[in-house]
Amino acid sequence: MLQRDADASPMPDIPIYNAPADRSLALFDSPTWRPTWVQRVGLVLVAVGLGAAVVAWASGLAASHALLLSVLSLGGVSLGGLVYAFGGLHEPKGVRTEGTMFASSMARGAVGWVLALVLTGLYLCLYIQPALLAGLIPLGDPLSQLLRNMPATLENGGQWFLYGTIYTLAVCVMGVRAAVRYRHSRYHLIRTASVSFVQLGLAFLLPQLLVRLGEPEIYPSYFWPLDWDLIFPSSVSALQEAGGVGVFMLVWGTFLTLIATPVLTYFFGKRWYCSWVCGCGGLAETAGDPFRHLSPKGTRAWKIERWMVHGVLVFVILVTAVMWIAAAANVAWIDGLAGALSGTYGFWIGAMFAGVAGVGFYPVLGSRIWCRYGCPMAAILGLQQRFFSRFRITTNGGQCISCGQCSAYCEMGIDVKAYAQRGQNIVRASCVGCGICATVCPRGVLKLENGPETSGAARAGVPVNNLIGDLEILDPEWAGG
Amino acid sequence: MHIVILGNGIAGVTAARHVRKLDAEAQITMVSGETREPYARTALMYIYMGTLTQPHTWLYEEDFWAKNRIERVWDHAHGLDTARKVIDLDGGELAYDRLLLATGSVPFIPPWPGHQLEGVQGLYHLGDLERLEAATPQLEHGIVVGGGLIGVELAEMLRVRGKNVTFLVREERYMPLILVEEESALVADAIRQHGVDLRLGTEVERIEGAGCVEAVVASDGDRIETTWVGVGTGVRPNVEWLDGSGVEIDRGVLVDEALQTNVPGVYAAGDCAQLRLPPGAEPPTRPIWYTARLQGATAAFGLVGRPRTYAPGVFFNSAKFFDLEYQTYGHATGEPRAGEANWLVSDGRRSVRIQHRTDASQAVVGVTSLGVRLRQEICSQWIADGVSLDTARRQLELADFDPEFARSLAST
Repeated sequence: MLQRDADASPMPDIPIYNAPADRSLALFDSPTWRPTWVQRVGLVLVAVGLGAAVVAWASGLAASHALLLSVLSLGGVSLGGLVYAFGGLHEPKGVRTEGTMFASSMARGAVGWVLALVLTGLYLCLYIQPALLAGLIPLGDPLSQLLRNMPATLENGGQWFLYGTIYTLAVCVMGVRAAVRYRHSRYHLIRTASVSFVQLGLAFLLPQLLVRLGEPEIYPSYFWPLDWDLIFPSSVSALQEAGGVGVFMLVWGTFLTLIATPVLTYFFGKRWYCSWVCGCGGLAETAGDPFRHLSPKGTRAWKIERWMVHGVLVFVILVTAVMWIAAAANVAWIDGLAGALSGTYGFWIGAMFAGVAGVGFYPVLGSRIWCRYGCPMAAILGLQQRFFSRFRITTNGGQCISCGQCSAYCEMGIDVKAYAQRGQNIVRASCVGCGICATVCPRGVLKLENGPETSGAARAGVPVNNLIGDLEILDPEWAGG
Repeated sequence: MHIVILGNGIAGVTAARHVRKLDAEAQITMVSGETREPYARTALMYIYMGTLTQPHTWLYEEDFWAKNRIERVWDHAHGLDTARKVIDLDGGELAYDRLLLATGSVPFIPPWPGHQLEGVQGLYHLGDLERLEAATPQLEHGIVVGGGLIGVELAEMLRVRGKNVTFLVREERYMPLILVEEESALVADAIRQHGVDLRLGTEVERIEGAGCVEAVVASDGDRIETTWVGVGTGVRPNVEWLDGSGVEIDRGVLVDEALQTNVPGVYAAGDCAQLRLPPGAEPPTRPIWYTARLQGATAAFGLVGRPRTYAPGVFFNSAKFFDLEYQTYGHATGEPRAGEANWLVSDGRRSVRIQHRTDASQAVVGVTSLGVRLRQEICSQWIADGVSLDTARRQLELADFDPEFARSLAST
């Protein structure tokens, strides 16, 4: 037989991540990671903050020492994170992805798995057993008093206030890290500022201030179908009754769903929402940035993605329709069905998928698990982006060297290289337009563009690197040959 | 029809892919002694740097090979008998009807005293990366020799892994054949900004050591202790194994305009091929990745019995010097040739240069950019059509391929 054993390792064994370091428990011994003293100070502060949080959780001391422990924990982690992020300024501007595949935390090493377990555990507690977080909830109390003029307790759902606080801090602090990391690109600076502003202003401060004013707690950056129960009959009547702000949210939400979404997606692609506005996307682009390369790749993952994300879209449409039918018909069994459907969606999709798996699995499956496999909003935007939009990623002729960085760092698991090395533009439903593929490309082959064409086929173009197309682009006489 | 392709670099893979597109029936076998899985050689540095893992660099998903019925054989060829049409592999003989030689090249190590010591290496194959990986733990200060594209890659690789680097470049400025002085200075700045001890106008006198490298003595008189010397002084075609095969060899495998060798049915493409009659301003051998891809596509036509003339069109190439991207189109040279001049705009970090004739046509002959992304279609068109410098300058915005919101060079 000529063929050697096909099962033999096709490639020699060079570590995917820093496995020897993991084995020796020297978890931070990456061959490319050399923190400065500023960054070490940042890490110490983060450690102090985490320590304070653990003490608060285990001891219950936060009930009596809320301010002290709140400042120590939330403040320590945030300040430490900021110091660490700014420490990145000592590195030259440019793509600094080196070492990603060696890092235990970022390449599914021991640190990554522990992080995934802790995050998943915290989310499970949050959604299922918030009482287990009782020791932590008072950490949100000082800020709750300040913003909402009310305490944060287990009884009044204070865990959600604390969660919103931590989520917003994560977006803003890790947003600074992302901004420092990608500071050579104005696209990323502006985009990161946008998601941070929306999260801090529209999805945190504004709703809390409205609560303080006795108004309904609205989140103007979320609308149907991502905010899946916003247009349920019960929510609509509640908002109507609240008047003023409530009615505004109804009008605004309807406008966003029916008018802004199709128009903006036509001109700019789904990125206007997914990587510029959305809070889930905001967390993915900031806190999730270190894990973006962990998204499952390949055509199999793509197939699963299409079935799942469109399945959830069908589900949310079904739930919403049945809710309205139930409200109109007023028949007992339809009411029962509506309740069961919305309960199922709320628990399995809203809590377990979007929350627990969506963020808990960041260090294992990447930062866009929910956006890619579950978000019905992304599904709708994606369908339009695929078939009726001007957005595409343009490939620069025959310049691709097939290195694979675009595909590796695509948080949506798109095999960008498969298109680029054929010289074909990328028109994909799932692309959130984060622009990282174009940034990490070492040959400047990719560019996010809003071109004149709209149909999917016209935007994708003829593969210039296909067959003799390799030569065609360079020698027009060969065209059609 | 059994078509055998020796080598699974970009020339071989491109040929295999295009043979399948042209001929649904042909049996295609691609042999490589290096790996079973064809990968992007250009990405070797990124594996060492921890930017990518090896599977990221594979050219296609597993399905691709089955779908296109391209059989991959991982074996080493050490002889060719063109009379009997068989290749001598470690695992036995392999018969072919038509054959493509796409065996690439091997690093050229200049015959300095001590060049055979252990620790002196180039960067071309996966094996080179393994040797570097093995040498890394003991390495504190590496010496890189040769101011080309591989040299700067080696320097970057070592810096990322925390090593000190002395980078010896024979020329007085970086890549003087293709960069003008301002551009050479930008590249040198980009290299030095990353803490590389770049020594221009400095050569290797000798390499010292007993068995293993212990030090390099440079032409500036300095003796630098090291355990590793990376050589990026060029490559030579990997053709020695063809001696006595009946295939005519000079520097590389000699091929006609359709990339066929002197033996009918045997073709060569990529680094290992040497054109008997290079078209236009092409050199006979051109060890560039893009060139290999174009030649692989061209050779595919010959392999299915419909030979075509190799016509690469407007030349292009690209590279990255640490964080500084480089693109070039057409025939941009380090010194303007007779009857030519340069128009250059720079902000001290990046530049665009248009090389043009000085006669009435002012025709553009070459474009080079550093830190600025240009659209290949537009730049190639300028050169193919010989548009005037004024036209090209007016169309610079059209040629802009920088990301959205980037500050254009013209507006600074």
